[in-house]
Amino acid sequence: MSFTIGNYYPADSPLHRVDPRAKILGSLVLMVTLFLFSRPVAMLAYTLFLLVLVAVARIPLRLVLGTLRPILMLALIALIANILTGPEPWLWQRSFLRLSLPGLETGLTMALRLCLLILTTQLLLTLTTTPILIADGLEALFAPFTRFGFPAHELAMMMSIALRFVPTLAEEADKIMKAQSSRGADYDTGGVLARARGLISVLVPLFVSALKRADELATAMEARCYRGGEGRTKLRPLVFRRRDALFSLAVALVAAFVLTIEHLL
Amino acid sequence: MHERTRNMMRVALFTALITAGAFIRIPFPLVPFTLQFMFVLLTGLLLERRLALSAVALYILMGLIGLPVFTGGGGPDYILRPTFGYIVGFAVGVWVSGSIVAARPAERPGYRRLLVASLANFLIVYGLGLIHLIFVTRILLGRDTALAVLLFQGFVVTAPSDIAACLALPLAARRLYPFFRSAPAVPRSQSKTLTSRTPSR
Repeated sequence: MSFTIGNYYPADSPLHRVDPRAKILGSLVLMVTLFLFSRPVAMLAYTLFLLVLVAVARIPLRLVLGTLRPILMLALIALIANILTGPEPWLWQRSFLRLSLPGLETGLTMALRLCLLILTTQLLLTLTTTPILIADGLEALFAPFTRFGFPAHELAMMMSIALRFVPTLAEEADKIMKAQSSRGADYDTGGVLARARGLISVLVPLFVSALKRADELATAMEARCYRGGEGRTKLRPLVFRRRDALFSLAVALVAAFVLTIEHLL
Repeated sequence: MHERTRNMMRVALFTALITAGAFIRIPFPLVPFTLQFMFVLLTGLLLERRLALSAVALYILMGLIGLPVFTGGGGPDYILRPTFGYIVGFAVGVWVSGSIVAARPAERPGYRRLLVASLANFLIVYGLGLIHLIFVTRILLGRDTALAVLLFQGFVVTAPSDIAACLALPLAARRLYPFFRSAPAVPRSQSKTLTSRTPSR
């Protein structure tokens, strides 16, 4: 069993190359902004901005929209619930079933906002930034807090290592499961109790192995003189370039523009 | 080996394990379930509570900044998804179950203590999960959604297999406990070379 987690879409686009620090901060700004407007015109303007981003990122639109799948059900429920329980005036009415017009409006706004929210973070981070870069960006963003005892370097280090070992451990779990079922362990047929017993025979070796791996890693790192983040240099340090400044400016402008539409026009 | 590095690596590896758990599916009566809750339970029973909490907190942080560790990906918007409460519950849950296990540090915890710790973890995960589920659908998305539907989706469907896990896992935890509370194990690769080259050590 081999799998890749996440949906990073490898491409060589300007958006992919934007500094992860700018992307993390940018998506935070946009997320907050998304909760500050609700007029259809503003929503439309924001959607256009996202479409431009998709074009810049050179990611197929189908793929981007695919990230909405997990939330679609929730958005639909919200929409229907709002229509059924909203106040007057009615859009349509027959005995007890009444469809509310204001409910339709709030429902649509809610659902659309949720979708835009997800598209924003997916587009800025998950789809266009490798996990390692995200971890690096986070370390850099948190670095100023190190003097107050915040473990910025340690966090980034643990994140990279955890990510690196997810496929390894999943593969190992798979191997152990096969090994144990060849010895008669049973986890897909039989009663609940038999299955639970089968799973225990998997969990015990898996946890021992994870623990051993962790201790081996620590030993290996110290053998290579790892002693925390202080004074450690990077092979590819993050550099804030003009592209990144432009990106930040664009995000700020879009936020300002959308809020202007909402409140002034 | 410094304790700090060792602890960092333990946290990292158990974060990886919890992440991997979300992607391993086991067929079970009615609904297939993932191993994630079992991994969280066992982590809470075995790691020192500080490390267990760090592992889950790291998992949450990674997911929130957009690393694809949650079942449905990742990203800050996950806070608003209906299942986020369960994930927060993992963090509180492992801390509480770790505290219960460590309440009598001198003795090796027996089945009963481990069972109580697991059930506490279960209740916290489901409690916070349901509160968040109701909060998100009701307050953030507008009006009421039928509460019965929510309860069914968020509880009835998955709870039985997770309760079964709570009953069974203390058995595994008892066997694993000595590994986790002794001096660091001698690495496999190293033990071979050490015995072959320097038998005196």
